[in-house]
Amino acid sequence: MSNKFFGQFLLEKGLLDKTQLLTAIDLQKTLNPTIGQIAIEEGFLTEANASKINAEQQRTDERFGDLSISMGYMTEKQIDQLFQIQKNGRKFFGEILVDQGFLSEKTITEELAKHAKEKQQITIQVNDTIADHPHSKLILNTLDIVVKMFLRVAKIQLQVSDITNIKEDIKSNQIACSQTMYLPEPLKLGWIMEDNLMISIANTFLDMDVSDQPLVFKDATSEFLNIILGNILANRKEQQTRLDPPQISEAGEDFQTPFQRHFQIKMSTPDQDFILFLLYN
Amino acid sequence: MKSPLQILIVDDALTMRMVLKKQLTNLGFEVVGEAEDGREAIKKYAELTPDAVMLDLVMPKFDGKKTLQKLMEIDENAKVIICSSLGAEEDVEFCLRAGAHSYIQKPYDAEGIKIALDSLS
Repeated sequence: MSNKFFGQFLLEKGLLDKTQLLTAIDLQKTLNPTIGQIAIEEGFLTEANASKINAEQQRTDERFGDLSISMGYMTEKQIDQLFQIQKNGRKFFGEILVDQGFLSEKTITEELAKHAKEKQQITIQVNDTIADHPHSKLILNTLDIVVKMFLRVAKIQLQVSDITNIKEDIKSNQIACSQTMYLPEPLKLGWIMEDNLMISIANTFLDMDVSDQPLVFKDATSEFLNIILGNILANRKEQQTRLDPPQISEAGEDFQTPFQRHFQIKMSTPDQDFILFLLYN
Repeated sequence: MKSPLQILIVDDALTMRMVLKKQLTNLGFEVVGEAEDGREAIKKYAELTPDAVMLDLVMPKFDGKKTLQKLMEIDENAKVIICSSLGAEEDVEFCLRAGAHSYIQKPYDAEGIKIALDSLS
């Protein structure tokens, strides 16, 4: 699986080099103005108002067009017009690569199909608790990546078994592993799980038996979480996303400060359950 | 016989250093050193003069982006390959513009590492 953007996908396969990728990124930015840029060009928005919408967009999950309507800067009709202008002039990344002679049309078609297959979403059965949640998109994206990564890296099948707002503490045989990401507002994501599950993840991840090395299997679990969060961020379009290093907490230790709100999802492996949690303000 | 490329691994996670070392050794590369953070990486780079650096981004204190900038300042010909869980377009773009040779997103496989290192020669 992959959450790489197409350019990165091609770079890792050695089909594009660094200079070609940077050239294509530059061209894509020049040739494909954002809705905000087109709105300014068309005289629908001032630069100052566009900045206000951008700032609001950083805080919420909402799209630029929806925000500009709800903030009263543009009408729905104007947004439709802008989308039409954007659509008519749009140059796809693959087209740019072909135009520049970096790759053939045939290669682009083949690689796009492979990339789409890797990005395929897993259908997750969730209830209304998630649909109504302010971070619903993030939670769904997280669940999708968690399920895929457990299958790929830890070779474990996962299911979502329950979604609640209950706050649980770490029990004596458990460890909490958590990590704060900034989107740019901070959110902490993590899991509480027993040693057995951590050992099983670490042994597969490292391809060796580390069941008697707690430092190593805890570190492996943290790094596994780090990989999952990095992949979640890769899917986001915000600028300035950032990750703090992962943190391990044991029974009696506080892993929730300074967050006020809590959300948790019970995940089931074929052998045991564990808790995935999200902390936010 | 050509001597193998000498690599310095920089990652705060012991696990990732273990995995990467194993993969690099299996591919025929020589791991000459490991560093847990950016400052240690810069010190070891000067001491060991490796052919390439495999650099993580999310690290405490001195993170990977700062480390990359510092390494490029010390040696503009440094061959740095980013190995990070982060993979957003702006992260990749930032690192490539700052001088990284290539960028691999975790979890990576041996083939991705080989392609990136082979492209150095």
